[in-house]
Amino acid sequence: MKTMIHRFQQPVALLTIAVLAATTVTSEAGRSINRSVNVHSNRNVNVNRNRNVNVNTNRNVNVNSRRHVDVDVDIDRHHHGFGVGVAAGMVTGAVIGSAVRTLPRGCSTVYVGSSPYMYYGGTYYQSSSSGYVIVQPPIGVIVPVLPPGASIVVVNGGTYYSFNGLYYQPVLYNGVTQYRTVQF
Amino acid sequence: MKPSRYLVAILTAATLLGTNSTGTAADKDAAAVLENKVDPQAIAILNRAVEKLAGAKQFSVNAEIWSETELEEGGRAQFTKTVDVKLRRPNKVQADVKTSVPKRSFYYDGKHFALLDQQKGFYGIADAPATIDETLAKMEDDYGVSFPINDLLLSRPFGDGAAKTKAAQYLGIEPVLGVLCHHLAFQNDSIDWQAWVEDGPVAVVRKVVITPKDDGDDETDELQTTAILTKWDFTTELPDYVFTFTPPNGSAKIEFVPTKKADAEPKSSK
Repeated sequence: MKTMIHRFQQPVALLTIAVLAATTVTSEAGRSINRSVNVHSNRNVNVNRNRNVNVNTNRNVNVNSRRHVDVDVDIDRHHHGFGVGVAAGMVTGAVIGSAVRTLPRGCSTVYVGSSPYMYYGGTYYQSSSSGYVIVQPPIGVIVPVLPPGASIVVVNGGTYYSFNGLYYQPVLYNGVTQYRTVQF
Repeated sequence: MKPSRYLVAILTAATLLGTNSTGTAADKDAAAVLENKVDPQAIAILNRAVEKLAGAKQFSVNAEIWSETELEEGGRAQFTKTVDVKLRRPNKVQADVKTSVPKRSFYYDGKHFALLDQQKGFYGIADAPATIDETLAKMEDDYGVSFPINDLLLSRPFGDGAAKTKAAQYLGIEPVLGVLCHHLAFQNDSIDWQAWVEDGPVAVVRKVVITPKDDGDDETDELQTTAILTKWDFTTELPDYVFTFTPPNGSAKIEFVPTKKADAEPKSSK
C-alpha cells in the first residue's frame, strides 16, 4: 500500500484540540427511566462494561469513569488553566520500562481487551509490584484525548495524528470523538 | 421494612379465620395494601402526558438538562446542556446538543443515523433500524450513544417506568418556570423519579428528575439528573430534510466504532 504522509505544523491549533478533547465519557445509564427500570433485562452488563472501558480524561474534573459523568461538560470553560497544565505535561520524557510510584493526575484507564492501561498524554502505564511501569503503547487501544503535541497528518486521504512514531486515528466511540492507535 | 399495622391486622385476621380460603384472602388484602402505595391519581396524570406524547405524530421540544457530576476533589457539581429535539413518528429524530457551544448533532432518517461532533468536525454514519424505539436502543447498546431523558422519545414515553413502579405519589400543584404542574413521584427498584405534568388541556411534561438509588457499591455515586422541558411544539410541520444529515463543509467522516466490537476484538500490544 502506498502511503503518503503530509505533516502540518499547527501547535496552537493542536493545543486547542487537546483542550477541547478533554470531555469525559461514560454511559448515561441511570439517566433514562425506561432503561433504568429494565436494568435487569437490558444491559446491566453492558452498562458496567461501558463504565469501565470508558474513560475520562480531564485533569481537573473527575477521573473515575465508573461515575456518571457527562460527555458534554465544558472542561475548557469551567476549568481555567487546564490548557496550561496540558502544555506543561507535554514533555513527559517517558522511558519505556521505567517505573513510577504514582500516576499523573488525570490519568485515564483504557483497556485492550481486558488488560487495563493507564493513559496520560501519550504515555501508557501498567501496574507493577512497585507502582506503575511505563509500557509500549498498545495498538488498537482507544484513548479519549490526543497526546498534547500530536501533529495532524494525512495518510491515504484520512486524517490522523502523529505522536512519537505512533498514529492516532479519530473514531466515534461512545458517542464522542476518541482516538485509536494504529500503525502503518 | 417494618410491616404496616394494617398488614399485621390482616395477617392476624387471616390466622384467626383458619387456613383454607383465608390464605388467599390474606394474600389479596396484603396485595391491596401494597397496591395502595401506587396512588392512582399519579398514574392517571402521568398517563395524560404519556398519551399526549404517544399520540403526537410529531413534536419538537427543548430540554435543559442539569446533571450532577462528581468532581475529582470529591464534591459534586451540576453541569448543564440543552438538547433541541425534533421528532416525527415512527422513524425520524433530529437532536442538537449544546453547552455554551454546539457539541453534537444527531440525525435519524429512518434508514441511517448520523452523529456529528460539532467541535472537531467529524461525523459517523451507521445503519439504523426501522423505528425510533429500536434505533435508540441500538445506538445505546451497540455504539454507547445515549441522550439523557430519551424516555420522552419512545413510542410509549417513560417506557415501563410507571408499569414497574413500586410506589407512586401525587404531591400537588407546583409551578415549573411559572407553569402550574402536577407534581408526581415514583419509586422503582433502581431509581426514584419525578415528573411535573402541566395542569391544563395540553398535558405536557415540564420537568423530570431521576435519582439513582444506592446500589450498594461504594465506588459509584448516585448522581441526579434534572430535565426542564420548554418550547413544546406539536404543530410546526417538520419536513423530511430536517432529519436528513448533510455533512458540513470541512467535516470528515470517521469510523463509528461499536462498543461491543471494540471490547470483543482486542488487539495485543506491541
